[in-house]
Amino acid sequence: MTIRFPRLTSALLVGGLTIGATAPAFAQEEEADTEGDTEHVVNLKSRCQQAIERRLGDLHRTQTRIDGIEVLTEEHENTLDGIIDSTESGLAQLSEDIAGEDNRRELVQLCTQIATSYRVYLVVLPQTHLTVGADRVDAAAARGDELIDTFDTAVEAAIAAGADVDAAVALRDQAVAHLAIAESSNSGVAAGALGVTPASYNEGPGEVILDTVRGALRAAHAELKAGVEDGKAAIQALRDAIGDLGGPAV
Amino acid sequence: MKRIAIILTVILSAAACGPRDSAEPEAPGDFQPPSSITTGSQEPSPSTDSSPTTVAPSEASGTESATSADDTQEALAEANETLALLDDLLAAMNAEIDGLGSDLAADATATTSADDS
Repeated sequence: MTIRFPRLTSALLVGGLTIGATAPAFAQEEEADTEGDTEHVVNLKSRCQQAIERRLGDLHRTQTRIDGIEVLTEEHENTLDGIIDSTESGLAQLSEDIAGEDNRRELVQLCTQIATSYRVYLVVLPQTHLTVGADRVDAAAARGDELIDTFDTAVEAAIAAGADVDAAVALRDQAVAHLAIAESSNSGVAAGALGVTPASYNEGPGEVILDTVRGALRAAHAELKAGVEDGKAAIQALRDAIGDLGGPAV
Repeated sequence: MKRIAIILTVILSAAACGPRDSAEPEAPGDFQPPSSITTGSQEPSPSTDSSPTTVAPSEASGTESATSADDTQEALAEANETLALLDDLLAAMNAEIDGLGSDLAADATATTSADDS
C-alpha cells in the first residue's frame, strides 16, 4: 500500500512523509541548504538525475515492449506512444533544468516534480499495462467466439453421427456466459486508464479510476480463465460423447 | 366316253391339288400364328428381369444400412477434425490470458515498487 499526499508542498513531502528512496534523499539536501554546503547540491543533482534516468529507462523498455504486442489496437498504441513520448520529453527537459539549477530550494522543487508531474510508476506504466491488458481481453474473447463457433460445428457433426451432446453443450453454454461477463467487465477499462493524467491522479479521481479499471480487468481475467476451463471441459465432453459411439475420437 | 372320263379325272385332280395350297393358311389349327409365338417368347421371366423395383426386400435393407453407416463415419470424421482445431484455438486463447496475467503482474509491480509517491 502506497501512501500519497498530493496536495502537500514539496517541503513537507521531503520532510519524511514519502515512501521510497528519491524523496527522502531530497529532504536531506534541503536540510543541507541551510548549511550552505554546495557539495550537497551536487549530490542532490546526481540523485535526481539518476531518478530521471531510471524512469527514462523503464519508459524505453515499456515502449519497446508494447511495440511487439500484436493485440494492441492501433488507436491505443498511438495514444500510449504519445503519453510515453511526452513523458520522456518532459523528463528530459526537467533533467536539463536540474542540471542548470544551483539554488538548493529551487533544486528540491524541480526534483519533486520528477514524481508529481510525471507519475511514471503510478500512472504511465500502470495505464500502459492496463490498456494492453484490456486489448488482450478483447483478443482472448474474440478467440473464444471463434472457438465456440468451431465447437458448434463439431457438435452438429457429432449430432449427425448420433452422439449425445447434452453435457458438452451445457458446458459450452457456461463458457459462453463467462466470456460475456469478461467482455462486459472489460468495457471501458482502456478508455478509463488512458484518460488518467498525473494531474488527475494527484487530485484524487485519477487514482480512483485506475483502481476501478484495475479491479475490472482482474475480474475479466478471472472470467476468461473460468471460460477456458469450461471450454476445455466442453471439448472433453464432446470427445467422450463421440467415443461412446465407438468412433475414433481424437 | 373314255376320253371324257380321263378329262374329268384330270380336272378333278387339278381341282383337288390347286386350291389346297392356297387355302392352307386359312385353315385353323394347321399352324401356330406368328403372333402367338412372339407373345409367348416375351412373357416376363423372373430370372431375366433386373429392375431395382423388383429387388428382394432383404437386399434393399442392406443398401440403406451401408449408406447410413457411411454417413455416420463421415460425421464422426468431421467432428474429430473440428475437435482438433479446437485445441489450437484453446491454446491461442490461453496465450492471451497468460499475457493478461503478466500485464496485471507488471502493473502490480510498478505500483508497489513505485518511488514517485
